Amino acid sequence: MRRLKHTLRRLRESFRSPAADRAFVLLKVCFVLSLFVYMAWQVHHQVFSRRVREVPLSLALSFLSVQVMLMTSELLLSCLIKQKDATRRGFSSRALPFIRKNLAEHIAGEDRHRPLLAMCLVHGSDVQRSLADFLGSVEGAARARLTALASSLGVDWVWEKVALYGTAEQRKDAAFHLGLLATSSSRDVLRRMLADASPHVRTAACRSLLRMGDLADVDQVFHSCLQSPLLVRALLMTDLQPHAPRLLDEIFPLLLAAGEASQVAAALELAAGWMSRLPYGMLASLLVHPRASVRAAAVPLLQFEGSPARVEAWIFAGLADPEAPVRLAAARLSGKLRIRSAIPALESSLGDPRGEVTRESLRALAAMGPEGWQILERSVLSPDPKLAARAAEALSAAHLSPFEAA
Amino acid sequence: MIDYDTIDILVHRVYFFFESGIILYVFTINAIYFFLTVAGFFCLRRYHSTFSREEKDLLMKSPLMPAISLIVPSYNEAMTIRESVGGMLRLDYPNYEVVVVNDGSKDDTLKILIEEFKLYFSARDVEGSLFTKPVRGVYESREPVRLLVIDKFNGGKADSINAGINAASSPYVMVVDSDSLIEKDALFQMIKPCLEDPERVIAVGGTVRAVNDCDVLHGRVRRIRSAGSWLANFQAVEYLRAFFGGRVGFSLLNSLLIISGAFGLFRRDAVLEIGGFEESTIGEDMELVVRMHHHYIKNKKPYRIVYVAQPVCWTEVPDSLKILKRQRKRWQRGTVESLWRHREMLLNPKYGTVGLFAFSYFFLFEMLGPAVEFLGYFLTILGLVFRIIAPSVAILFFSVSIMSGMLLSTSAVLLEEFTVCRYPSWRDSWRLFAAAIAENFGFRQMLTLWRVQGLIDGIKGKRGGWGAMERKGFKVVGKS
Repeated sequence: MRRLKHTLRRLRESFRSPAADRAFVLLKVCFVLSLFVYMAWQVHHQVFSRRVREVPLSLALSFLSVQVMLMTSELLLSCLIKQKDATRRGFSSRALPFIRKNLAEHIAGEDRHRPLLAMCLVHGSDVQRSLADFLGSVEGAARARLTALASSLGVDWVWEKVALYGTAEQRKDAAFHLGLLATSSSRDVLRRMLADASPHVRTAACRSLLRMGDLADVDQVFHSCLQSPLLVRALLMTDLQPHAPRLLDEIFPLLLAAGEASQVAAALELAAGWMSRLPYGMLASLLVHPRASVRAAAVPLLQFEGSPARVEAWIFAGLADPEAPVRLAAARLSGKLRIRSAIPALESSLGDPRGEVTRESLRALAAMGPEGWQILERSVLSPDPKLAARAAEALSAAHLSPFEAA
Repeated sequence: MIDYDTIDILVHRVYFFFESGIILYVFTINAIYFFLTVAGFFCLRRYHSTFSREEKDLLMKSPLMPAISLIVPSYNEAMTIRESVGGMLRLDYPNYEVVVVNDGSKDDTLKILIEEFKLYFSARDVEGSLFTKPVRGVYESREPVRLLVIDKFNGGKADSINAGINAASSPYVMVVDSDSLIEKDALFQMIKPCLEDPERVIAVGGTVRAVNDCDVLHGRVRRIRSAGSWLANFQAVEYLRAFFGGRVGFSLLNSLLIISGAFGLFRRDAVLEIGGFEESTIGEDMELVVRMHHHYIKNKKPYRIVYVAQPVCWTEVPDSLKILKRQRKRWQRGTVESLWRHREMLLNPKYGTVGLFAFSYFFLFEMLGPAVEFLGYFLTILGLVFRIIAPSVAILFFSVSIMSGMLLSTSAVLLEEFTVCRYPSWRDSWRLFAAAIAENFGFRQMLTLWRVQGLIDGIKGKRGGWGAMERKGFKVVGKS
């Protein structure tokens, strides 16, 4: 039985892949079009073929009739949509105060299971929405009571089913709601959702698991985050930040030992975003990593390193790196930290074949104060027109007139 | 001796051969339109979700968000530039710059920009790999969101965009027309596909809608409503049909051939790799996208060109027939030029769905469609005059064709209501539905005629400039 369940789950996941999803949409489109042709054929066969002798004319009349029918239905549908929305808004505006009042009383200790169950039958979505709002705004015993209420109303079951079988948008909402419940079964469902095809659903599941605070889940979420696209990392960065020290101490060494370069670079991006300090030994090994993307991602982390002598040494090494992204990162950091000892190295970078490195070096020099400005002033008068223009731009950015300087 | 009966039979046969061909053509084109509209319905409900407020807050704080350069080519836009650039400087996005390129405007565009945004003359030199007309000067602002104005000699829209790309410092560039207003969270919505699949997504297109008669305040559309004039409403419906009933379907098949020049996001390195926007064509937006497909498929590089429905760019549509005629002729010429340049892709299995479906569709239906439709009307009139066909038959086939157009247009309006629903009032919905029905009587035929003229101009190789339009300006409410 368990094996069958597992197989079914795998099958469902494979159906959620983007290619399968597209195929499903195309199938649906073909079905709708076939239905349209079938309707036209039926009208031709049942109505017009008996009255009109020429087949093309009968077919044209059938298509015309079906088109008129469809257009009329569209107009009616439009009215219905608007009316339905208005009615729903009206219903909700009447039901919501009652639902909220009952939920508040239930939290306060009264048993409001019955009226809420009755409301569930008519205003299911409103009850679910209100319950989610309340769950998100209370803690402790009140939350426990609401969780028990959700279970007795069957709302948790609905959310779990939606999380597994709904559309991507519904699964995303369900992941959020299950995170509010924080029961063992909701945790299991959320863990399963980490393998969801949609990055939005995965992100919602990750955030819910992080809110629950289980350390094993944090590790899993972090790994999932590194394998996911940029969107997931950008969204989860803030949620993962409280766990940064532990992740840096325990997970990073394992990752560096076994991880792919892309994952290591992604982890370093996150660490830079958290403004976390890596242990020096680890950082040093990353700064000599064979992949340029990793070295470039490691350079910004030097700004959190305590020893200025070490930072300077690595910035010099970075400015002399054979790869442009690393030189660029080193130039940027030297300007940010205003490392005056890097001025000669930055001056030599002005002849860099990559324009962006030259520009960043000039910006760094502009940030250094009078010492750097002198070099920029000399560069403004350089016979190389490109360098002169870039130097003038850097001076201009430093709010100095290039003409004054010259 | 002339055998009149034989000639009569021959004429009838030739006539019916052509007429049957046209009926088959109309049937095929409508089948494809229906396919795309139905696909649009399923896709819009499935893939086009937005970020929640909480997610937007998280992304606003995230240093991982890629930078975007908004490139705003402008030529004689004194009427709208203040509002549009003002709106662009107040977008929700953590890391972006606005690069306005003044393409040698003859009006006060540059003066307005300098005064309104307190720009200073920068020492900056625009350098880059794309060749453009010389730059006269660069102006910058000290505002938190970086505004860069490049003043250059007149060289056309594509030339201006290329100058903007040269000056841009971000990995993504977004091209926006200077007479357009973009929604506050448009950058988030546009960058979404790139965040989801940064390695493959090279271009993203958004939705363009008619802003005529909508209330505008501080560069934002405050109240959305249908336009007062029928002409603007016809175009509003046409835009809905093109975006929801066409581009969504093409995007599903990864064979989107057009990203509107008024609103498109591109990966800068991808644009530079193919040599930037082509200056010698007037349909530079379509040409760029077709060239991207051509280049990436030829070099066997994985890529995606995506359409997203949610971000909206509000633009002023022509309110006079004269300007509309000029615009449509220009668009048709652009289509002809782009397709002719890349004709190697036509029905070429090497180019997959793009070559076999999208390119063929554009070639047969978008490029030649107006000529065939025109021929259909002409033959029907001819047949009626010479009594080759019965009036009832002509009316019947004409009605089927018109009704197909109505059905597609009303479907597009319904699709809008079902999914994004920007026109919540009954009045606006009904006006759009009425426009969707009425546009088939006269307006559509008029467009066909203009497009035929554009096709002829395109075949003749007629050149064109900016195609500037006489603006009424936005309907600004309150004090801006």
